Amino acid sequence: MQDDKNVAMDKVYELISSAQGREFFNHPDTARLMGMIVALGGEVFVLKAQVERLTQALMKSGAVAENALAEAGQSKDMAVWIAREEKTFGEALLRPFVNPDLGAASPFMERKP
Amino acid sequence: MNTASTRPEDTRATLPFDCNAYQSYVRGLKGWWKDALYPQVIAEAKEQPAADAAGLESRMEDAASYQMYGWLERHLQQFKYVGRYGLMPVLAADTRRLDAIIEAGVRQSPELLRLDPDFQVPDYVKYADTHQHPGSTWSNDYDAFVHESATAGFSFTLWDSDQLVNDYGVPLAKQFSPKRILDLGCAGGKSTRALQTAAPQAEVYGCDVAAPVLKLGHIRSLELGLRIHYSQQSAEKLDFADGFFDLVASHWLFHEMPGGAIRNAIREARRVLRPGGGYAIYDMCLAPGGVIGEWLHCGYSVRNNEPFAHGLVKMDLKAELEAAGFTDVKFDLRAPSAEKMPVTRTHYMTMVTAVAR
Repeated sequence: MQDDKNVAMDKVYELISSAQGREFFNHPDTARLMGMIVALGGEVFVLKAQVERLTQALMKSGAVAENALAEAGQSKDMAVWIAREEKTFGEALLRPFVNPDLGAASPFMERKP
Repeated sequence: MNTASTRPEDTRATLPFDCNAYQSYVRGLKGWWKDALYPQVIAEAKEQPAADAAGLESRMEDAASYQMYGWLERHLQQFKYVGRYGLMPVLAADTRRLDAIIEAGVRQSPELLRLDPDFQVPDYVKYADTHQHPGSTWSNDYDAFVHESATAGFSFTLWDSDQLVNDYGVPLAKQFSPKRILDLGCAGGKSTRALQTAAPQAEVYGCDVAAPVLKLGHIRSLELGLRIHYSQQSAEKLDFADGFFDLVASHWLFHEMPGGAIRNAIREARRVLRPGGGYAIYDMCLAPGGVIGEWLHCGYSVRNNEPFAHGLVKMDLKAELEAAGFTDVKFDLRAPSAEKMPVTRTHYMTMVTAVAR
């Protein structure tokens, strides 16, 4: 039977806990920037959702009627759009961190004339 | 709330459109994290052979993929709860309506809900902010709605109600044919209702340390016409008589308890079970995938404010159960296999069953 402290605080637990102090990245500013980018992404996503909702409402009603926005927000079409967008948007936003440069290398740049 | 005039949706938290859209955004990021980044981290970790999890942490701590993985694991969960569109501020702004739902709900069939105003929430619950839910499930009544919305919003392995009945409740009902069932750490009663549905003739009890979730669990049960007995008490010290139950179960409880508390809960479960009664623990009792699996599990435990989850996989549960008076202890690792890491990030759940001697 283990002592409670030993159960929780073995070497790997201590190592990972101490890594929290680095805020995950080698430079703590990266964590700050990530926080801003993801928050900004959230605003963009919400805005996109609002626009889509408005578009669907206008298409369905011909004009903005009293319940058009609310109805569009609850619609099956909106749910379908959200499901598609949540996947593709998340992928597009996060992929550059681990694959930051998808551009082809130019021999002229490598030579540094 | 089984009054004819009250429709179930009237007792639900209502998230504004913007909040729902934002939660979807967070789900999308989590989707990429679990489906794309997780396999990449594992692939890179395989290239860094290490004797143990601590060695692997040292080798991987500078890898961009792992740094991003860790940051996302911690912060996407935070984004779910806090910030402009987080569940906490959005639902806190609706407390008047939510409090009224609870107040009206607990007046229905009050004989089925026992709350203890003097109950002291254990420190390991009070100071953990488990799952990064600020204030966890015990602080305010609206926390119960936050918990309900959060678990509905994203979790890799929280089953839907039907699956919970078929894959969790029914096998236990068949194995132990219980007449009286106790669900420990029942929170909002999702697992409790699954057990009641799977064993409709049984008398079912659920207990938890947090009053808000018990109240909402009571309301949800009555909405389904289920007469479940909820009470506020700790799994470590129950007020039921010796041998009162035929089956004691806990669903997602032990990873939130330190080793000493788990040990107390096991002994207490044995006390309230009749000889021959069944005990079921459904939790992350094993971390499959060798060194990489243990390393990522430990990281998850740290990063998601589940500080005891790592201790649970280190615990010798079989020895603890046998020492407390159980026999026929069986471990069934439900997902994934014991040897392989899953291809996508998920929880790896084990059903442990035992019989009271």
